[in-house]
Amino acid sequence: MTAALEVAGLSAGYGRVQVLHDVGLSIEPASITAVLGANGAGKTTLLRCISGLLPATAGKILLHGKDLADVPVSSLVGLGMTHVPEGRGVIGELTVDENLRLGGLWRQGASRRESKQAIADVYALFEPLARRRSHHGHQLSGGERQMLALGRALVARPSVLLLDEPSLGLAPGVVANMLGFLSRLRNEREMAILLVEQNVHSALSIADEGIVISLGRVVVRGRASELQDDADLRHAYLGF
Amino acid sequence: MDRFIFLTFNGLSIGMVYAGVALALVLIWRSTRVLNFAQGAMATACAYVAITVQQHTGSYWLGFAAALVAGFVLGVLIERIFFRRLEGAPPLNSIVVGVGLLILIEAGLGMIYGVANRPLQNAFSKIDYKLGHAALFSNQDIFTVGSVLGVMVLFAALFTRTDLGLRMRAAAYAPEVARLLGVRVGRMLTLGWALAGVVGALAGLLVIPTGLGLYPAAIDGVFVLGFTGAVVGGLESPAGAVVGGVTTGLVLSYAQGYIGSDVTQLAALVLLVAVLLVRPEGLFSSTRARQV
Repeated sequence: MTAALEVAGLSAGYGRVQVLHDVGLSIEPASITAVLGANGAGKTTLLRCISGLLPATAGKILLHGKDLADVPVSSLVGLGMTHVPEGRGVIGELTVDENLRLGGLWRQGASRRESKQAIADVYALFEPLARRRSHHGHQLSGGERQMLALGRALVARPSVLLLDEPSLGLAPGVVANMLGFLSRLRNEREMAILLVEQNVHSALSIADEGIVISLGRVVVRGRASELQDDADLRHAYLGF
Repeated sequence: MDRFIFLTFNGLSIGMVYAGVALALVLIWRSTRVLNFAQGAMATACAYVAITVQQHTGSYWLGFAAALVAGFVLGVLIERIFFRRLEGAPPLNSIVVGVGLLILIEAGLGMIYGVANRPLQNAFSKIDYKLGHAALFSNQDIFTVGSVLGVMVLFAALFTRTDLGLRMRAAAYAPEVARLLGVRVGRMLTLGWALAGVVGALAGLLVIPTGLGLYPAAIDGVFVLGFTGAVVGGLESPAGAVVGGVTTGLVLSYAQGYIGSDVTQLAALVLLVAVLLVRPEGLFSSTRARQV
């Protein structure tokens, strides 16, 4: 089976500072891979590089077997990949409804109806958003913004979802709900999810696979359950 | 009272021209954080296109349409050739390029057309409707106010009611997020410049026949007052641009009428300083966006 997302030999950096060194990973459809590591390890850079926001200096990225080398960032959503960036990317100046509509604008012609249906589905799923659809993004609480960012990604109906620190700044109860929701996306929609998280326990509790990045290199990879039990590893790279 | 009414109508009409220039500046500022100092010179270039087409075809409206098209094309070219390269550069760079373009365009126009003052005709009659002895407004004034208001309504509909407008706003507010969601941000920014070129050209066509005449630096003064209107309105909001432009027009008209034409420019400065003292972010800008 072709991997949903495959990354091989990826290197990237900012100016002369190289941040990622020869990173490789592979994600199957209907699976969650957690990307773990200390602050500054290169987790966010990895996601930005996969979605083309930061050009790679070396390496390959394949989305469902298709090489993304010459694909512009704006075409990725049409190929099935959506990236929810760190800080969630809700556009504060736009209303909830407009933010969600943006998630479906890449569809052309008749398939526009699919976007309307997808937005209706998101409102059914996240009821607080339905009540605040004409509110602006900057009027929402942290939890609501998280719902909106995820909801907008879902309107795009991706097969590969890149999530950068979705639990940042959220109350523990909200985080638990969100993680439960991600498992459902994997199981029910067969989504491949690459999840960058500081919250190691939570991330590993729902992930199938995990990779640990340190100083821009993948230092450990394995089943999530094994990583969770490996006390030496946790101590060495994750600080607990 | 007659005088007040006359000055009010006069201020509204010229204020709408300032509003047009302000709208052009705001369209570009809010999406690219560039203050386009060449906006006035671009509008002058479009007015020369209008006069050339009018001379060849004898039709005012063909010239008018050609000038608006020229504004669109000029907006696209200037963004693509000059300002696209300045993405991520310090703000001073775009100011220098803008001022450079202003000088380049005006010098180019002088070389092609000469610096003599040419008359550009009005679209409609300048004969005033009167109330008793008080002159109120002319058909040309109605056209000025109506066309700028019309453009504003069209823009508002474009931005708030269409998918294209949503893409343009997303590209302006959060280019990276917009790109991730499939918006071709570069195209949206270019379109913003093009629309600014059109509304700038319209403002030029409306103001040049009011006694300025057409010469390469014809719109420089109007540009300064349009810029004042844009700052008064807050630089962020198209509605603010129109209110700021009209406010500038009214203040200048009253100052000119009641105090004397010597103080017109001073009145603009006083207005600018007063608004910036009371509301540094402008009348319509959201303070939230400016808080650090």
